[in-house]
Amino acid sequence: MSTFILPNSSPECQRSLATQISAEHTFHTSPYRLRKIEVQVVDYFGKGRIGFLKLQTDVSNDDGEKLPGCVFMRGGSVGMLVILQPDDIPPGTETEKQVILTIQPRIAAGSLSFSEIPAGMLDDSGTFSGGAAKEIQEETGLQVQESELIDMTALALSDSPTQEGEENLQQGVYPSPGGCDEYIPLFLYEKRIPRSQMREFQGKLTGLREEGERITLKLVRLERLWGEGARDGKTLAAWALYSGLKGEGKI
Amino acid sequence: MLSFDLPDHTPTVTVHLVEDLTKEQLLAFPAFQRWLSTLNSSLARQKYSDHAFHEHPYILRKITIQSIDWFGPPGSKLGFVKLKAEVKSDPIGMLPGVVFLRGGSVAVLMIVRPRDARDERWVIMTEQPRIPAGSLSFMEIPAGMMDDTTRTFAGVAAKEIKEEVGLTLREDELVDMTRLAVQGHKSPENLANAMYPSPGGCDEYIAIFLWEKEMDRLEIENLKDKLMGERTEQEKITVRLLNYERLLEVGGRDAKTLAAWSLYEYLKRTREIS
Repeated sequence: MSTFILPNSSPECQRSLATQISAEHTFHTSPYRLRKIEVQVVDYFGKGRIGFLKLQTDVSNDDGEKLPGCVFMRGGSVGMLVILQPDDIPPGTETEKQVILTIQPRIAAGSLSFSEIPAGMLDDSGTFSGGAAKEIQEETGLQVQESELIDMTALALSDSPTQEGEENLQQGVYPSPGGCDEYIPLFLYEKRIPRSQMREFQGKLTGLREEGERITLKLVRLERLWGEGARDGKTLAAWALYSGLKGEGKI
Repeated sequence: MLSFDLPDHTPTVTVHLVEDLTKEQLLAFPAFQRWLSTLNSSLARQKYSDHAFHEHPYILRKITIQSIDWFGPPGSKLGFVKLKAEVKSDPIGMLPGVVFLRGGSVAVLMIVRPRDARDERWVIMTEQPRIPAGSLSFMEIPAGMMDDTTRTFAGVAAKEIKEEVGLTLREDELVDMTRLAVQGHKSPENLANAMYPSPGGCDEYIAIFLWEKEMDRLEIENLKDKLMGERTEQEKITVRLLNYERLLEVGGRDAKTLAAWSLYEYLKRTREIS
């Protein structure tokens, strides 16, 4: 086992720790410091590319008080709320809007057919919206321009102050901030298409076969999404942002 | 380092352990039991001719434990288990099988409403360090677990809420919103009636409850005074009061908070809750 000293860099954690300098910070009198990181497991995604890391960190103050420091590290993902509407419906209404959901095996959930909004892991290159466009294409077959995507998380979270000074968190939804670094920017893509084309999505088989993906698509009416998608955190989160932003007239 | 074959599994499933974890400890871990049983019942459904994978079914072949974290001294209580499951279909190939195993939990959307203005709503939130998110002050709805003995909401957030505002949440005061939502959509696969935050890599499922209470205006103002000022004590968890109108904006980075908002809004609109 080898060790090294972390060079002077600025990951998010360091930024948040630095805010303790401010006299108003809760932890100012006994600030927490990052003292050690232990890499327990690495999972590679072929060709030496790191997929997941499991870390144990020591973030503690001088009184020996520790913060829970286990991290399942996987980076960001993108989620897409893809809404189709038959183009024979007058524009400007929510009538007959349907959402594309993916059904696929999710071994972690113990399921062979878990329903979710399309999503994918962000790779290191490119923008969030570029990643989203690519995933939409792979999972639904739809060719989408980055400019056609609306970043709902950026819109909804843009005004939010952080409670203590200036932390630099991602513009995304964190599924499990107590155990995992994952953050998910959520995008909206709406398209009006001929009614006959809409039916093609029901039961369509997609996904990258060579990556072991076995995805079947289904369409769900927008007003029923919360029930059909209620087991998937991303789906409920996307519905919240969509409804909230619509309610405020921001989309 | 040892390995053993899972009892009652055909074909054989070998489990490769890590040091400091025994077969007995792993098999006794509730999250492992639940995950394995759910996976097995999902795999068993492939025998039905209308199942998508009936022709080339997936089979669980091997489980490799990669790391473990104890909640306390080693040998006490297992907290997290990181494993890799080999689930394979000849000739199709392998499914992604990395699992961060931690079991289920609960979260509560706590809403207080003044008697003199029933459209006004305030939400009790927690603010705390979340090292995985790189934050020292992450806003969330309170998370924890249901204590089977006392039948109350329990955990560090519940304890802090009791200390700060004197509230204990009893099971019979809570509305299980996720259960109501999935009511019409029973899972043929025996999935939990709960929200899965990250089903691609984690077994976690969170039952989201609603606790809603009317209070006198004075009580609400007292809560505001207590919970909306600057954090003074060096508490790891700070209890906060937030106007419901700002829930998406301020709590929107937390998946549980957005999920709770969705469920509450929808259930309100369909009058399943008043």
